[in-house]
Amino acid sequence: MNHATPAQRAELSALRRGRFRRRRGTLALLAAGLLVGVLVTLALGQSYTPLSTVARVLVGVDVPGASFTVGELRLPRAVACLLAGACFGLGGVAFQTLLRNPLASPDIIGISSGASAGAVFAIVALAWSGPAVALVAVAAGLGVALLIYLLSWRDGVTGARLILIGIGLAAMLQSVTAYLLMQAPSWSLQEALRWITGSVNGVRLTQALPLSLALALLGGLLLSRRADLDALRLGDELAAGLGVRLGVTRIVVVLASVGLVAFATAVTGPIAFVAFLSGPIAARISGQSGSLLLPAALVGALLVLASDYAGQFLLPARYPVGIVTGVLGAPYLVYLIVRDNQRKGAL
Amino acid sequence: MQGFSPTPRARPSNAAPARPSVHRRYLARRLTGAALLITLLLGAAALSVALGARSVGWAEIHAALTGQVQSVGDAAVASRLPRTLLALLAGAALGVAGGVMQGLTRNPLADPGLLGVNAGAALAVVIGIAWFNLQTSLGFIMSALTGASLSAVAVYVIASLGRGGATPLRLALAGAAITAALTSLTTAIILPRGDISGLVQSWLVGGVGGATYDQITPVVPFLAVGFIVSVACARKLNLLALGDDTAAGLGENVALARGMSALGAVLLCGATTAVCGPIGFVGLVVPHACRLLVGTDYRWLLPFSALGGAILLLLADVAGRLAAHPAELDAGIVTAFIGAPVFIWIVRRRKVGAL
Amino acid sequence: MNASSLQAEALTAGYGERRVLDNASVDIAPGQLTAIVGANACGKSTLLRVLSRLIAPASGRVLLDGSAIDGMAARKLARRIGFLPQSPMAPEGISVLELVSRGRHPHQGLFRRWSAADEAAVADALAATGLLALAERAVDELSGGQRQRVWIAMALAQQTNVLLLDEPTTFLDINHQIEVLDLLTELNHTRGTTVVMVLHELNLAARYADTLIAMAGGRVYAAGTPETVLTEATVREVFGLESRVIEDPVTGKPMMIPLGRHGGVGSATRSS
Repeated sequence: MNHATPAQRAELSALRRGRFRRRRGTLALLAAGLLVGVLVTLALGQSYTPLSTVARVLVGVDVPGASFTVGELRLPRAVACLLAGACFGLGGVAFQTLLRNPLASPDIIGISSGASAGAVFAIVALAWSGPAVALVAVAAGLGVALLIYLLSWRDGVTGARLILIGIGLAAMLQSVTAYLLMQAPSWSLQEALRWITGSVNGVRLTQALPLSLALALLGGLLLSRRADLDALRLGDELAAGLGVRLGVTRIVVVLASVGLVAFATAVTGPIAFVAFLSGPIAARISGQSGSLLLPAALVGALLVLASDYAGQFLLPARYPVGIVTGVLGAPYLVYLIVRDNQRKGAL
Repeated sequence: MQGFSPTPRARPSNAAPARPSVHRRYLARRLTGAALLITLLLGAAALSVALGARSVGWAEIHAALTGQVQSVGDAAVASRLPRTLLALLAGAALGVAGGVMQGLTRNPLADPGLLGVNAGAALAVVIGIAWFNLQTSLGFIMSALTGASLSAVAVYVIASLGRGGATPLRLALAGAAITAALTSLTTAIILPRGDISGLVQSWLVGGVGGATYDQITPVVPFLAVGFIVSVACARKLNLLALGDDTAAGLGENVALARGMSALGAVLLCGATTAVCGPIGFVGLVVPHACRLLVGTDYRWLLPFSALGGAILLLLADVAGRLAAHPAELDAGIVTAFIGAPVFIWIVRRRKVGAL
Repeated sequence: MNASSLQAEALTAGYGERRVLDNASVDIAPGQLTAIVGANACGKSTLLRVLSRLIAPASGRVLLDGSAIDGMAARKLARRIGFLPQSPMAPEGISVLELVSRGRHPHQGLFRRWSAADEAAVADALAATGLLALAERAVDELSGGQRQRVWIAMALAQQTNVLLLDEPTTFLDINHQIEVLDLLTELNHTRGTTVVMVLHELNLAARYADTLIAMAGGRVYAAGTPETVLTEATVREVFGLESRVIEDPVTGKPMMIPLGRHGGVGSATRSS
């Protein structure tokens, strides 16, 4: 049987190094895009704040006027966008990889709706606030994930059944949310929209702390599993043949990604389609080399940041971020259905 | 749809003499079912008039029914009358529309709410109000019908593009996508308009509360035409259920059959949405329940679905009034609660390949 | 590389209530190329899955070089037994190099990154399957035969002593079937890898395998050299088919010709 010659090996190594470089380049590009995005959102809102002033506010200097607009209004918003976007992106791509179906993202199969309903229940019915709300949201998200899994179990779980059952549950949970919102003492449209389509209006910096902890812990957990997730893209049997422990990996990935999505939902509401879109966009940008987790997290953050900025300043009226991503995401979902029809139809 | 076969047919070897009795047994069963449903309907309507946030006595109900409104109780009952009528009409319309859509798409998960038709109607009405200063009920109905038919066609075309045709999964996904996009657009149009922002609520969840005769009257002609067209299509739907090729082979003009039945369904759910807002799952649940009762023949199934839909929406409305006492729960929320488990049940009992 | 032996002792396994393997025992000698044959639903794929520990048996055990596999760590086992399912799905757009590199998964830990040994294993696997020139191509652009070679290359990169394959030739044209079987034979001869595969095509199995295992009703009906296993009696019992077995004029191995209900061409064969 042939062995590769040293020259052929060197060629392959060069090929691989090239791919690594391209991948690192893509990541750097995305990160740079994020940085620029953050700077733009910090400096340019209703009024322009020079970058030097922004920098002074960031290091804690009290600048009259700018300390409020940048420090109180723009910074919390940008931070919430980044963190929530990264959480949605990571959670979404992990689910899509685990179930090998781009449609099986937590926002389409009802997990975000569950977390949102949980958060609204805690706020409206229990009159809770702060971290307790996040915990209820996480519990509700996990509960819905478990329910979907149990309901779609019949001699194993198949993607199609799981997605359909998720859609059915999502419809029910959305009406729970709508009902709870109507029970709220004062019907506030902005607040309602947060829980229906997602919004970062009025977000505070203190809310970012639990979110960044969740991102660090659960995101780190997912990243430590990225080789297993990569192997899972080849199918359960092959992955098992390659030494992936299916049961443990599934549980870890589901818990971590549901947690990410639910924590983010507790702060910003279920920002439509970000979890669904980030993975496929990341795959398109970064090619197939290596894990999609990091690129998807960056894409998610960029998507939320840019959509929120567009919703605030680039459109004729001010819209919450979820409206913008909702209008953006639906055509992509349609494209996915149509493209899948034209191929074999693996849905 | 194949899953729902009527009761196992006895097949004796000497089939000829046995047949009339089988037929008679079928007929008897259906007539019993019809009698049962009509009784239930009357009961549900009575409950809808008698029960509510304010508890009333027989005297007040009698007074309201005979048109002598004097006390607050009388007035409460009197206001329940148009509401009951609307729930009856809308439920019947949604039940029939769901049955027609399931036959037309040969898809057990078809439902005006799930397929984005309600969202389309809502968006069109909001556009009419926001940009064209729409005020008349006729205007509402016309724009709701336009939106309903456009989104129905869009969802169906998206789901059936390419090979394989419109599977239940694709239809449901296309419906979810279109609904999400249209809902976002609807909200985007309403949001900057402080003057109409109260509408968001009514277009998110549908219900029959607060209905007046003035609202109901204009939709009646549309509903009537919708019912007639749909029932006239029953025989065509029976043939379409066998597949397009077989239907054509049996002498049916498939395109015409589809067009006509789609028209009937869109008229029914568009007009309903124009008055009630989006009410999901009635169109999904009712035809399935009725199939268990009368089998798959659309000539029976559609009238039964009308009865069943009316009963379901009446009861949902009554339950909504009682559950959240003294507030009220919109009927659309109650139907989602009844409907989603049924949806999941339908998904679970089908084989994977059929999804 | 050393060859490994694989033994299954009295395996019983199934899915839910349904029992598919019923007290099946096999003994696969090191360095052999073994083909499992049998009618549909006779348990041959299930046997392969139990051998690779994808399914835990209800009773019985599998021994790799004499020690039971059920307690082994997942990655450790994956460094010794490779498994290729029937029609694996490649992620959209993945390149040949990358897919083959995935075969190194069991050799990498949480902190051990890509090493020279990994690179060498992948390069050798690509060279052995003649895929070096295609390394950068996307797998879904390749022909069916090439794609199957990519999967085998991935299994080669895994560098296991045992390779289990579930119908590696299904959906392939006859020329690609031969290509794949030639490749597996080569691998078996030069590396000494123990190869066990489920094959549909009886004559190809008899031609390429050192050992045939014929299964029926969840049990091993016969096992041994092709000459002892592929007989008219076995075909009758295992497939319920009347046949004639003759000597393959090219290889001298047994070759089965089905008779069917009409006894082949005419009455001449029947009367002889």
